[in-house]
Amino acid sequence: MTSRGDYSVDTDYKCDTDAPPMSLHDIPRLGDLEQLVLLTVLRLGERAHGIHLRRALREEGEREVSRGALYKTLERMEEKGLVRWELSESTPSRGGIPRRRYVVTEEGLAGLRHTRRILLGLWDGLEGALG
Amino acid sequence: MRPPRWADTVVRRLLPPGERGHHMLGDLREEWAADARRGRGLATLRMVGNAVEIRLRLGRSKRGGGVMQLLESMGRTCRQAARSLLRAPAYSATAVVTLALGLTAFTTVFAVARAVLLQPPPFTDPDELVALRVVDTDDPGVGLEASYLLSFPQFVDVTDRSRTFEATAAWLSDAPVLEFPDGVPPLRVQLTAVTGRFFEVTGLQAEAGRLLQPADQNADAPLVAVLSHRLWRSRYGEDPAMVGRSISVNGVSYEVVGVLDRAFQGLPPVGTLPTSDTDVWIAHGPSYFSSGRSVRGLHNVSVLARLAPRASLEGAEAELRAVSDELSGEFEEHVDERVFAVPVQELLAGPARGPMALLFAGCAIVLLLAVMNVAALTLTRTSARATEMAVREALGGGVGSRAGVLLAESAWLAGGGVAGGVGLSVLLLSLARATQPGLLPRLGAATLDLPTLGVAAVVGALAALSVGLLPVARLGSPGRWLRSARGTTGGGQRLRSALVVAQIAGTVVLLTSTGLILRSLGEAARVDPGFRSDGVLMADLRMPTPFVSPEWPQHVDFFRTLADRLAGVPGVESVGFAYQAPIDEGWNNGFHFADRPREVAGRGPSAIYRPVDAGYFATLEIPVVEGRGIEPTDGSETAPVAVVNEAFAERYFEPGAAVVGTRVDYGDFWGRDSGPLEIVGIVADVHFAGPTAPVPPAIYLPHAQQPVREMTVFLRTRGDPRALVEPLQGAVAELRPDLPLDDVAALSDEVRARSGPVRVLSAVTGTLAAVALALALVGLYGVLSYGVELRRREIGIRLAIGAEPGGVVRSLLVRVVGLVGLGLAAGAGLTVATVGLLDRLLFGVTPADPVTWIAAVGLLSALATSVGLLPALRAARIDPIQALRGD
Repeated sequence: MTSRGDYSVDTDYKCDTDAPPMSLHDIPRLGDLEQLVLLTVLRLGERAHGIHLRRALREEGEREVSRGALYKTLERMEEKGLVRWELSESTPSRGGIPRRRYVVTEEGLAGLRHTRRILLGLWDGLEGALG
Repeated sequence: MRPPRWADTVVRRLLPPGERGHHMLGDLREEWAADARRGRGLATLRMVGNAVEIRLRLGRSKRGGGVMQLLESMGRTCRQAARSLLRAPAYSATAVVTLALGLTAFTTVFAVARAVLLQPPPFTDPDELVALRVVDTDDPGVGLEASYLLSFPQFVDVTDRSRTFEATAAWLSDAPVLEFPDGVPPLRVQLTAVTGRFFEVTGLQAEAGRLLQPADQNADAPLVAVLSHRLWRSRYGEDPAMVGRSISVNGVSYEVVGVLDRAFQGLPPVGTLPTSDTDVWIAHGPSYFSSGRSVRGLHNVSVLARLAPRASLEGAEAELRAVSDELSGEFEEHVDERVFAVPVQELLAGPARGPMALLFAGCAIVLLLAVMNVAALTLTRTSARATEMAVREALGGGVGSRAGVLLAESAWLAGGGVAGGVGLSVLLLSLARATQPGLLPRLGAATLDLPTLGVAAVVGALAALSVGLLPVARLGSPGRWLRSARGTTGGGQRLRSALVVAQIAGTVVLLTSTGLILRSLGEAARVDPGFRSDGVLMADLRMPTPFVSPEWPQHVDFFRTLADRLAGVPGVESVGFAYQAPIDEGWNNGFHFADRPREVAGRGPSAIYRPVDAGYFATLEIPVVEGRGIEPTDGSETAPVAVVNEAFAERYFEPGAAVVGTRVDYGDFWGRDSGPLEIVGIVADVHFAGPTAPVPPAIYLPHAQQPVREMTVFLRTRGDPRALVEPLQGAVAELRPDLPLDDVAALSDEVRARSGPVRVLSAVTGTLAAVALALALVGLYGVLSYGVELRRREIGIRLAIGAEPGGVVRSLLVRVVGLVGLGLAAGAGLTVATVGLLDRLLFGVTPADPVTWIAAVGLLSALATSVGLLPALRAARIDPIQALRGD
């Protein structure tokens, strides 16, 4: 079943980056929330913690995501191998509980590149229609 | 700054346990700290609210309560039950297969019963539809089986004189040839000629164009036809432009005015209802139906009528009786004839009701046996799981949680059983449809639709409950399992014994029923059909002319030439032709004896009308018992002759009276009067309607003297008759390339196909009986060996203090004999109560047939005793030391 934001993969796809070569079937397909989360994690870099992620998604991604939905998405993305997390410093207000800092994995990057290529291909030539 | 402790505790309980929820708690605390600058209370509320939101999204907390917990605990119980079942693969597989067998039988028969008995026929308001038939009031076999068709004038009179019918319609079937241009070979089609209001009566709808209307049957109206959806699709590619085009049927051109709704399907090819195999529908008035003359005595039209609003079946019956009396007084052909109405629903369901009820009862018994067996198996397993239950109880598992696991296990088993049963059922149904489409009317409509699946699921759930509840009911008081953990409890032994008795009783019913059906089949097989079918190829040849044609002398020439050519084909021993096969009753026509006072028309003698050629009797090896058969010299120029069968001589002549030499007369028949025919011989009886039906009187006439446009050709050979198919096709094509050859088959295959339904029925009940027998024996064995296992210690002590092993075996066998005896007695009672269902299916045996009863009871007793002997012998070999040391 194809959910919103899943894109079909054309068969003559060639990987044009320096990333290790992946077979067509290995490239994960991304949901649109997953794309947004991955891009935001990349943008936030060292500050890619849960709280900041939510805020950045709202402010930069124009996407209001509830905490539960974000945690669930992150857990799913972790299962799919798109992100991993590391423990980072705590703050006094956290009562000693360390933060989780999210990092985009190689698979996550491959998925993003693939999606970008498809989207750019789809956009190509539509300037006249879309302005 | 930290949130209040209570809020922290609540949030911690709401979030997932372990590291997974830990960082979320950190995040929520951090957010709280940021919010608290604008107000601690609000920040705290938001924090708890956010935790609830996370909990609802993730929903995997091990703490908390409510629906979530219930669902979680149910999921846990199900997983636990699944693991427990996987640890006992033998038990689980046995239980699932047993339940699947029971449910397969039940689901299949339910689907068929639904299609045959419950689903409405494809007509609008079928409750208001009746078929009209005629019976002779002086016929002792009054009823549907003894009834026959109306004559066309009779149909017109009934229509004109009745008020309880809103509309009536008559029809007549034919199998003409549909011709195509450009050298495309012609196609034999099923044609139904209907009176104008047929589609109004049936309420059928058009898929394209229009259907036939009353105006279409007028003599001066253009000839129009309606195509079936099937023909429209297969031959014309659903081309909408077909409406308005012409088709040629037997050389007559009809304009296609419409296509019938594709929903019209599922009606059997033969019967009192219009067949949904019809390819072409045409409208015709009186001229077609009575072949140009008003023939009151020619009972050849089927009639459907729709009851008027507010009219009842009883009212219609009363009116029909009055109309019949009127007609009886006015026309000598209708003396003592009574027209009656049969509801269409009854027609469809009626003949199948007996066999269906039998099958249903059989399946219900097997299902019950399956459930009982699994219940007994589960009881045994629960007893054997005393230690596990004791541990659960000791660890604080309440009766509820233990019952939950037991019920969840049964649910898994039943789920597996339903899945297996439904899967097997789908297979069985498609197999039945593919191999035995004529087994039951509307079998083709039997599918596993939603209601059927629903019933299967409900039955499965009930089975799960029955299987699960017995051991749950025995979970008993706290501490019971702790006390009985050494496995010495005899719990449920009486219950298990009762289950075994019930199983044996059910098996008796199925075994005797199967035995009776098998005996009937055997009796039927012993009946000499009156002809030899092996080595004979048969095929139908119909001239593409109207029913009665002036061309018939040419037809006679064609068949004669064809016979000569075929006789020269290598491998052909003899060739014969007849109007219809020896396994078809065909037409029954009235006649009178030329030398006896003429009886009132309609009350006079009647016999099967069968034109044959000179080679027919020799080819089918029907012996001539007196006089002569039909000779090649019996032609249109010679004196008309007839040959009768023995049943004819018995019915219409005193014993010893001279039959040969008397003369019979058909009067005006098929538009010509050939004068009296002299009976020149008697041939042996042929069982036209199968070995179980009485042989009706029959008259064979020389084909050369009878205007029949269609004949069946029979070729006898020494080898495989199918090898003659090509030579036959070649010979026909040489003479008449435009003539299709239909229904080419080996006669022996056709004979076998006729007994197919009974054969299949016997196979099904036989299978059910075998399954039941196996289940009962397994159940008996299980109960006895478990009983021995429980008494191991006791038997060991007995043997240790000097008991003879023989004595131990004897004491155990007494128990077997007791159980089997009780089961047999209960089963005999049940059989006597239900055997009535079989009455109509039996031939040559009575329900009280001693051979069957002795065989069934003997087989069951012998098998049950042998099965019971095994645990008894094992008990006698118990080593006392080991038994005492055991556990």
